[in-house]
Amino acid sequence: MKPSVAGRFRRCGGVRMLIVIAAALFYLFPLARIFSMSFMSAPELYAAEPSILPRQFTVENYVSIFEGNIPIFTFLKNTVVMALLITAVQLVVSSITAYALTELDLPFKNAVFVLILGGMMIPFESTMLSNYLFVAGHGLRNSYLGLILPFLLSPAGVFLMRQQFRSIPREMVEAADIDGCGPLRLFARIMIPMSSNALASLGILSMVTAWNQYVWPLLVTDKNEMRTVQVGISMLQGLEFSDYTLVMAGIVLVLLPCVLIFIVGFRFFVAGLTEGAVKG
Amino acid sequence: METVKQQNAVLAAPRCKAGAWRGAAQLLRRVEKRLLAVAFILPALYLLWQFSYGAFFQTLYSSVHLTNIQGIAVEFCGLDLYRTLLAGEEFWNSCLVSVEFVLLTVLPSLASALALAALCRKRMPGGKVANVLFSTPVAVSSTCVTMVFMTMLEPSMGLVNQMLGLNWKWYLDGGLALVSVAMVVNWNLIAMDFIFLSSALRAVPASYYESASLDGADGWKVFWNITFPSVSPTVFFLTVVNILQTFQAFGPINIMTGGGPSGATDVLSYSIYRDAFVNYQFSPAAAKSVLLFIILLGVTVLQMRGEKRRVFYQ
Repeated sequence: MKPSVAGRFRRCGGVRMLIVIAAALFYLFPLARIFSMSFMSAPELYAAEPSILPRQFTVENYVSIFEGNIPIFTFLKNTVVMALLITAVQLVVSSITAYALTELDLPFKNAVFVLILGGMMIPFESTMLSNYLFVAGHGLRNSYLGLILPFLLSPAGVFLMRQQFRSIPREMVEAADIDGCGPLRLFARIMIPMSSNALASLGILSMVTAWNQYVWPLLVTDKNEMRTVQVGISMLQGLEFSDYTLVMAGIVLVLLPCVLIFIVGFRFFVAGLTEGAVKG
Repeated sequence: METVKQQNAVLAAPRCKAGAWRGAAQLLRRVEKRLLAVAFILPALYLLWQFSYGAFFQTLYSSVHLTNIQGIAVEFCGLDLYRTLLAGEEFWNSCLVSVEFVLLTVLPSLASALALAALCRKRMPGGKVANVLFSTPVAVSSTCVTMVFMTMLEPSMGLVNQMLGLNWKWYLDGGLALVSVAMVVNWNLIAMDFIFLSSALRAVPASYYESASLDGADGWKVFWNITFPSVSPTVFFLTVVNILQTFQAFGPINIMTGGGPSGATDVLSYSIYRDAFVNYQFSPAAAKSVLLFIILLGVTVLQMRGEKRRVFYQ
């Protein structure tokens, strides 16, 4: 009966599955390595015999973080506030802008839209210096406002919401209009509730992007109390912390929230990413 | 208030001249729509000007002036800074390194992502999980990845050297530093490419594959005759996006190599940062960032022309 077992294995994609598993193990090894190192003790990491999995499983590193040996919770708090602010403002600004560009009586609609999309052409590096001077000049270094200002308008977000509003059936809008529904109520009661999927896509996209921001927070913060996770964690490298296992436990805490949001909102993330970019 | 007026209009309609009331209500509605439009577009226009276009013009302005240590322009100097840049070795080294960097990231990441996407195309047990797993690195910050790669590539006790019995210096070595950084960038890019490619593959009609298997085509034939042609527009689009992203990869370089050793990883975006925020020379950095803008604009224009041609073909 052996051939038939092998045949069945092949038929239901067994070989393909084995290749996929091998590829996943190889590709995601660095991610697994973070977790495994975070449960090792420092001496084990420096042992002559390399070990992939911890030989002596220990949560010492996490305990040490909770005791406050590295200020990761301050970093996390700052990042949560920053990412939530950016996401919330991007959602509001993208929606109202897209509404003005579709339903409202705005002169030069198309020109304004092209102008907004054109903003995507300017690389961050070409505006970074001026934005830094603006933020520093207004004394906004080391403040949440300074951290979020350059990211409040997302051209891709405007694009996404405009597509969404245009896809809402005309009859719906006209019916509301005939029933005497004003433009503000149309926006709040019909357009927004009907766009929950697009809003979720945009929200998850901006949340993940904001969470992983590195350059800008590096420029506008220089106090530990205002550091975000990405900058804070990278500062641990090369300082007195040569204790990599502790740093890895910190990295786990930095990664987890973002990865969890990503996995929960996977469908929305993919939709937002591919629609916002391909058709843009 | 607006709804009250509406109700008034409706109530008043039978008594007065209905047409006049309706006209007034409509006018009111039009005025309201215009006012709301202005109110709704203003935040976007302000942000667009302040942090994109205006900021870019400010950068242009800085690039033709000499600035003091606070970054304030003090003296007009024309195109001197550009001339100095283009005459010096440093700028051309950065360009060369950036191009090498692009070669080290774009092709490997696209090839790996395409292979993964093709593997996950067919339905199989655990297929959905695999799809999420291969996409997850897109949500992992390059900062954290850089730090893990640094521990793994560490010359004396890093896992890679120990496992493979090598004594390479990786990111400390002039020849391998760029490869080490490229590995990190690739790791993130592959997941992004995978997301785009697998959603492009899902759009390919299943009937193509069915008829191919009826004709007895094997895996390679199917890949080259069906899979690849049907995602080639996406591959083209991703090539451009990857180039743009690679040109702007800053974090891994700042953390891993700091542009070194001796300029081996000194890509443009990093050298802009170094000029402005390490050496406090804002004007040369501004000039460099204008040149970076021109390069990236060139890449984007190429993409648009390519897209047009693609539409024409279809």
